[in-house]
Amino acid sequence: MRSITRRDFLKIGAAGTALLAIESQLHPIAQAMEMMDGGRSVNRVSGLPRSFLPSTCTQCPAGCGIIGYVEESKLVKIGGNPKHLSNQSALCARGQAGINALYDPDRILTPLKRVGGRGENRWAKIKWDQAYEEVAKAMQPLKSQPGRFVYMTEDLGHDTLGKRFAYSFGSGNALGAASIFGGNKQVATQLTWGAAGDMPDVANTKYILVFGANPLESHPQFVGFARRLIEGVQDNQAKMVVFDVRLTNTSTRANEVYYVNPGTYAIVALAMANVIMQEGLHNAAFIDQWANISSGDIAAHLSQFTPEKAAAASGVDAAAIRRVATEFASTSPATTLSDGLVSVHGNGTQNERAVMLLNIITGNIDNRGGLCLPREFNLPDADPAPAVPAPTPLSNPADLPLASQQAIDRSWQLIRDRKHRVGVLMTRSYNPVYSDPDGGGVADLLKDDTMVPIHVAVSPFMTETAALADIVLPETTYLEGWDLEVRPSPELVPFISLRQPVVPPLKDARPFFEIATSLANTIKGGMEQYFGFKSVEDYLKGRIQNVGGLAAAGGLDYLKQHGVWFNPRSKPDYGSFGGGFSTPSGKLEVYSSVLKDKGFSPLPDYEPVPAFSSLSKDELVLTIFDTAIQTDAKTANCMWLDEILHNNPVWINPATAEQLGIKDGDKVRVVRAARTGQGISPVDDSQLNPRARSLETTAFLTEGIHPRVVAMANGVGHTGFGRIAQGEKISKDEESGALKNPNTELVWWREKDGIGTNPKTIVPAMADPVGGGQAWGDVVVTVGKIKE
Amino acid sequence: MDNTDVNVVYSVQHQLPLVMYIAQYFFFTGLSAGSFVISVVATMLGRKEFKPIGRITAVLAPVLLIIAPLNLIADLGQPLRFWHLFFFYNWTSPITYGSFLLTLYPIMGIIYAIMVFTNRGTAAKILGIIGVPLAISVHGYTGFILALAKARALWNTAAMPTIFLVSAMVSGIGFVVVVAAVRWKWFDKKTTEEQRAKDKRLIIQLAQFMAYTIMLDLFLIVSDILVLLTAHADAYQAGMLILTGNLAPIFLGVEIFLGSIVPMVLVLGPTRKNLTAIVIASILVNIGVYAMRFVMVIGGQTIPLS
Amino acid sequence: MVIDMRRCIGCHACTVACKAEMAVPLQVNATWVKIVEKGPYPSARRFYLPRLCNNCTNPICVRNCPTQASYKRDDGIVVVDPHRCICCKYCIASCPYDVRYVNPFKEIVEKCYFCQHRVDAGLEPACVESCPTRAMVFGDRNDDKSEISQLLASNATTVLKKEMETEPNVYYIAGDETAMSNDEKGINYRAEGAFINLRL
Ligand SMILES: Nc1nc2c(c(=O)[nH]1)N[C@H]1C(S)=C(S)[C@@H](COP(=O)(O)OP(=O)(O)OC[C@H]3O[C@@H](n4cnc5c(=O)[nH]c(N)nc54)[C@H](O)[C@@H]3O)O[C@H]1N2
Ligand SMILES: Nc1nc2c(c(=O)[nH]1)N[C@H]1C(S)=C(S)[C@@H](COP(=O)(O)OP(=O)(O)OC[C@H]3O[C@@H](n4cnc5c(=O)[nH]c(N)nc54)[C@H](O)[C@@H]3O)O[C@H]1N2
Ligand code: SF4
Ligand code: SF4
Ligand code: SF4
Ligand code: SF4
Ligand code: SF4
Ligand SMILES: [Mo]
Repeated sequence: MRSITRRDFLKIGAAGTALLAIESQLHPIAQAMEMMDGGRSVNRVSGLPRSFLPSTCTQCPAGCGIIGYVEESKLVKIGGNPKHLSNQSALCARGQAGINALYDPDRILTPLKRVGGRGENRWAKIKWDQAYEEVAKAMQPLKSQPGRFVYMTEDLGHDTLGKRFAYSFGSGNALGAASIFGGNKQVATQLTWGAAGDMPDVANTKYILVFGANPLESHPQFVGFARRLIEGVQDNQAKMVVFDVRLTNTSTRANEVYYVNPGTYAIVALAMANVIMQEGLHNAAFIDQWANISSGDIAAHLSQFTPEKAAAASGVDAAAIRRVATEFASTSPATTLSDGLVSVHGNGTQNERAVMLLNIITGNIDNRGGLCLPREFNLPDADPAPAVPAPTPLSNPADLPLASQQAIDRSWQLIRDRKHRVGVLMTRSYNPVYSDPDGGGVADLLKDDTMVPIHVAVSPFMTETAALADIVLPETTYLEGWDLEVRPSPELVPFISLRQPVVPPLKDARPFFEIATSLANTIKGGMEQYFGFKSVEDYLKGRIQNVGGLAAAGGLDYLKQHGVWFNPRSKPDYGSFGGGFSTPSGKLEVYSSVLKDKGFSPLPDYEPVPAFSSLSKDELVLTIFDTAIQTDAKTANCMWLDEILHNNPVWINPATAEQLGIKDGDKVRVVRAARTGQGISPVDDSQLNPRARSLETTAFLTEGIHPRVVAMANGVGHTGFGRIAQGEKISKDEESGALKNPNTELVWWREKDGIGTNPKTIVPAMADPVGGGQAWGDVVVTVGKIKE
Repeated sequence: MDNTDVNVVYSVQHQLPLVMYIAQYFFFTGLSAGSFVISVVATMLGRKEFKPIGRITAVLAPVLLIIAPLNLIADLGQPLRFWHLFFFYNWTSPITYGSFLLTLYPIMGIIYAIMVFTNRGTAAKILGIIGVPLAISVHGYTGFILALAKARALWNTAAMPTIFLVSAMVSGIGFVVVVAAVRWKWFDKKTTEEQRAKDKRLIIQLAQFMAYTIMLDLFLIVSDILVLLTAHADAYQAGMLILTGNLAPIFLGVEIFLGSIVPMVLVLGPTRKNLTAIVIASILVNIGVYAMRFVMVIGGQTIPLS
Repeated sequence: MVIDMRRCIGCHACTVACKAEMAVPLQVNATWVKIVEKGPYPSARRFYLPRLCNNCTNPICVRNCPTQASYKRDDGIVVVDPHRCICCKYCIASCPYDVRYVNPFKEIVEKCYFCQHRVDAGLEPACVESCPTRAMVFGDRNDDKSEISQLLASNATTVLKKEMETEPNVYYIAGDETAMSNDEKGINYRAEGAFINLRL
């Protein structure tokens, strides 16, 4: 390796700034690439270089490029991959703390078989061969009704291997949990422009309208997107206007912030669109060419959404709506930015469609600085690929016609109602007892062996869900396994990122490829023919063989060496829809006949959330938000993160708190109000798990929240997932074998601040009937001081 | 600026670097220095009736000073490396001059004590003259340790070494009074009644001297606080911390009331001839000075720097 | 080092980078991001302030260290010699910025030393490298052509507690006055796991 002088280092610093130059986005990266030779790190004591291997972070969906630095076969540090197009050498706190997950003292390192009742947490260690035999014995009898094998994971879209396993067995019940995150958004975007998701070109824009997204704290492409947003607002001096219910890291950087009444984005966006049409600020030529209805029809539909009406519903001043609309339409380019959780209401799909309409009528669609189509490689499964079984009621619930395979909470309901008989349930990378709405209900279901006769958890950790399994198969963490990770590119040039083991699997943990292969070859019955690869590398080669440029660059070997591949000469291909959109009409479907057919409003529309109408004086709306420190259920076993964020007091506006007689730091009880169930898809509160109606926490008084809203952070308050996640000190004399870490003796936060409460326990399962996505945001609560 | 609507959402503060050991160390050096000065005064005056006092204090001073640095070494994270202090000294650090003073002064003190006991008056006087500045330095430097930590508003005042010295005198006298009184009451049966009356008068005089030193001490503390309250924001906070904050009970209640006002009244008021009252006063004085060391050392660090 | 508060998003990536790079134990931090919130609803805003040793030009910690364990390198970085430190903690008491701590395992005093081992190898400090928005810039201020000199030349900057005359070498662009002061009068310490570990 070529040694780098201090001069070079300053040059690299300069290359870093050049990266910010909006003109040339890509070639400076190539420069840095040449210079850094894959990143470097030195031992702190000896100053000697460390050996390294590039890979991909999966501590959150962003999939940043990482470099694992290794000394004596121990991972000593995770750094950013300077060649990676998304994160460009930077990493967030969670990515760097991944090392804590790898060496979590409570990792499961041998297969476990339950002894005693489910959930009693008594286990016998078994050999892998026995584990495979046991799972095979349970699955083989299902061969005639393969749909009784159910596979559940959080992110099905990126779990090709999981799908392969279920499909090759003949089961169509490979289920994902998009309904609990961005489900409505995926449906809305798919319907409107024929691609799931979007990617605002924030670095190149001049005006950003943010609706309930918080990319400077949490975003599906966090590091890469936050960088580009700062480039936009700081280097490109774009104006940013944020609509949210609370103060966020994003709104603090905005030029203007509006606190909206929850669940009312759609009417704000529609009123703005109305103003734009009325004032004639729309891009008529673009609409004529690309929308599937005329400007006149759009204007006519929008005329009902006057700024005054929107003001009454949302609490945002009508004059502000007018002014922001005018500015948005007369600034070019401009974009909206709405993310996963704009859509977490019963009216979420329409919220998202309303926001997209603003871009459509101003022509800010897939242009430089506008709302762009996501650029992501679509890698097929390797040959021979199993046939995809026909949709099942579980994978495509009849009452959620648009929510294909991703409405997992509805699947739970069907199992609970005995509409579907499960034989074997396999959960992987998914912790529904902690993450899902009504997690307590999911736990009850998992404890009931008449509903779930066999539960196999594929998990490196004893999560709340794995604790309710019959057999736990210890998968490796993301740092010891293989996969191809493709993500929508924040730079709008698609890339392929490789996940490869930066250290060999610890003890008896095995990567999922190996587990699936061994299981398939034990179960047999035909599925083994899909798992005949000599090695995981052969399998991955099969998946990338048709990516032209990559093959020329060296294929898998290139990825193993560099961690990521993208066409270094390509630039964002703005206007990529030139040949038409992948919608039935080939146009932007402002009017969706699919929605019409299914009995929903075909035009972007606003339907108030019934539960929010006429809230009484003490009823407040609960918002659950993500932070920059923790990802959902995934990162709480990382002590470096927990040390920063370990509890989640409930945010209350001081004016509200005063009325309620609550002071900062008081112990409070948050109780779900019965009206929560009065959703767009109603839920009967009396049918819900009564244990999960209230939670206790402390009050955090802040001026940064809407007076009618209270908020709690996501990602803490575990009741399982090992001792670190629960803030327990591990004393010196306890044996943790190879995973001994003296730092675990210093865990301090549980005693001092507590470990928070999981706010999802009081959220019932409620779906938007259109997109099938969960209405996390529709929870009404009361908050009261606990008298001591 | 009005800070009432400022929320510190996140910050980190580190543990207090200087803990009770240090306060205790300051207390013991103070006692030692005080004793020594009294001993020398007694020796210098050369009056016979002062002799017992001179002897007691001559022994106390080095003994106390050998106890004192044990606190210091116990406080070191690396006690076995204490010799680094001598080999890698740094003349801009008050701890460095402290470490040399702490070595010289007890040696000198022991020799002085031998001189006193062997009645070599002239030698004792000469050593005393050399010793007093040393004793003052030994204790004064502890004041400098605090004063030179610029960031801590409570410490960073030129009055700090003087305050430390004067309070050292106060506690030193108090300690001597107690020891002398105990000796007078239980261990000194041999001397004549007349001699005992003289000795008692001496103890009372000493106590009165203590009361005047307390006044000086109070004057210094009051002026220090007045200046703090009118200086920059951190200093104001430091002043308010000891007047109204967590440490107020210890400062106002123990240090000022119990440790200064009550003893003054006991020693100068109607009970001024009562030996028991005087002993109680002297014990209180020592408690008060101990409290003062605590308030200064801990209080100085309580105001967050970040 | 320059930290541009117009770019900082308060993500704590720098905090964790340092934990990893320097093996900083739990309970102590060589760097952290102070966050304050001020202003009434609806104009309340948050302000961030990544804090670390300023590697001062005129370091009180060095002046007051009795063993020369704390010293200034030729390039200006202030370091602690782990073999010489006796852990008298006087430097901690002396530093106006509360950025030094006792390593609970090693019982010696540590702090940020601008990743001297990386800088010596021609790399950026770990926190700088990790920062998602490139809010931190590190380099040689005496080199006119370096990015940092250009930033310093073209922006107004402030340092922490200038009145301490330690001449800090961490400069903030657009640093918030309240976040930079420690005038905690009336300030209410709460929320997202504020770690105030005062050990008596
Ligand atoms: N750093 C970080 N990055 C992450 C994650 C993480 O946990 N941390 N999680 C990853 C995952 S799995 C996902 S799905 C995405 C989620 O990423 P986002 O979709 O950005 O999710 P949130 O931050 O939860 O929600 C965004 C904002 O919506 C606001 N909000 C809630 N209700 C309302 C409302 O009624 N009206 C308005 N206007 N605003 C509202 C919240 O206050 C919050 O600020 O991020 C991914 N990336
Ligand atoms: N009220 C409310 N609820 C929410 C949200 C909200 O904003 N509000 N957010 C929702 C969102 S956006 C999401 S994405 C979900 C997340 O819900 P989940 O999918 O349950 O959570 P994840 O964080 O993805 O982590 C799942 C599990 O995978 C395990 N894991 C990590 N690495 C591996 C591996 O390599 N192999 C295996 N087998 N397991 C691994 C982790 O230990 C973790 O227990 O929660 C949802 N819940
Ligand atoms: S943004 Fe997500 S993928 Fe990237 S480093 Fe952070 S946790 Fe890892
Ligand atoms: S990593 Fe950068 S953006 Fe994040 S808190 Fe630190 S300085 Fe700010
Ligand atoms: S910030 Fe403190 S520890 Fe760092 S050099 Fe300056 S005085 Fe010393
Ligand atoms: S603790 Fe160590 S570095 Fe600090 S002053 Fe003492 S010897 Fe010097
Ligand atoms: S420069 Fe290095 S030692 Fe200093 S705060 Fe950054 S990572 Fe930590
Ligand atoms: Mo998510």
